[in-house]
Amino acid sequence: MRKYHFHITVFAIAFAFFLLTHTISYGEPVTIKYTVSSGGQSVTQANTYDLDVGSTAQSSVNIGNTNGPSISSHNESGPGDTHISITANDGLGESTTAVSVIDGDQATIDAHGDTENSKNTSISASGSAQMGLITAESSSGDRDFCPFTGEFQTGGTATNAGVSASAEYTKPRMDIFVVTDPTLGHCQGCIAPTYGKIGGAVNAANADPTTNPDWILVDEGTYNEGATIDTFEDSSALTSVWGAGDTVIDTQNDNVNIKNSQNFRLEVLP
Amino acid sequence: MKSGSSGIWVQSSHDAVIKGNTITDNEDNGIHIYLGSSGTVNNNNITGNGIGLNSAVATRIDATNNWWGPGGAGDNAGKPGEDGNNGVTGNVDFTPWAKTKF
Repeated sequence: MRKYHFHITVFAIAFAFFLLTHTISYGEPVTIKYTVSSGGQSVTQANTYDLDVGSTAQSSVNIGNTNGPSISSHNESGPGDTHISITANDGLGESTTAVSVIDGDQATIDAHGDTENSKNTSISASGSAQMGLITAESSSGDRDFCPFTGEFQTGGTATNAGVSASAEYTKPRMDIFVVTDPTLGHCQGCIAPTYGKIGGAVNAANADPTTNPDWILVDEGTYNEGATIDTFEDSSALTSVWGAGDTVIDTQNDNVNIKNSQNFRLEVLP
Repeated sequence: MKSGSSGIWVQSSHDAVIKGNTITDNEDNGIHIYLGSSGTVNNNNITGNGIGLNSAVATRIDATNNWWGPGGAGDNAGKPGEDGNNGVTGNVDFTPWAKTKF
């Protein structure tokens, strides 16, 4: 039986506050190990979870009185889904970076709270997977995101002053289409094409000549339109990036019609 | 997702997955599954529609762990068809249901 190990090292010296939370999802046992070092001393905490498929474990460590903490994690996963988020609370709110790797063959994920007064977080990941998404949210409400697929490299940062997310990939296993209001300025670091309307992305997916599944990601906002998903490739998906509360499809007496499309997924990411 | 005659139609599509959505205020059906389709409907808020989930297919639809509305109390809180909550029709497995909104 395969074991997974997370190793997190924190060098903490003085004065601020930092909260680190990892959320992980696996079909096999997972071990999370935290090592917190300060002043030449260290404390290690390890939690092992025997998860059923689709279940989620949450583990967190509170690190008080830190200044300039450097936090890193390392995850080498087998097949399965991974979601890791890192959050810094600057006293005014939380800045968060997160990465989700869906159906990954292998992924190495590094999460950093390399910060001045614990205000910043960054996360990066590389590997190969069916699909994935990196997000960044600042304590001031700014957001950015980037989807990826195939052999990928991705990174994101979040501070109380701004956010960024980017992703590059080769050998795509999905054809990705992003729906976003261009005035939001999201997904600037993405190589996936963006569209202002769901209909534009659906039309582009229909016209795409490849046999990869199509993946349409819909950004925050209200979209006053229906959509017809007709004869999409097997295992295609329409996904809300930020969750049902932030993405509204008001079909205006139309509907979302899924037809002749096997294994189609209409959902939000973890 | 709201305001259509049916919010989501699934037709001639096997193993559709509808997960994590809020489906509300559709005049006829929140979700309508028909014409030989199959799939799962889980972890959604389904409220204020004519019918929450209308399945016209023979295959049993897994619609567990959805929240069907604020009606009902105790063990029946959030139960489909309970005290004004959205209901289901057809061969649908809706137990257990979510007692609170996602």
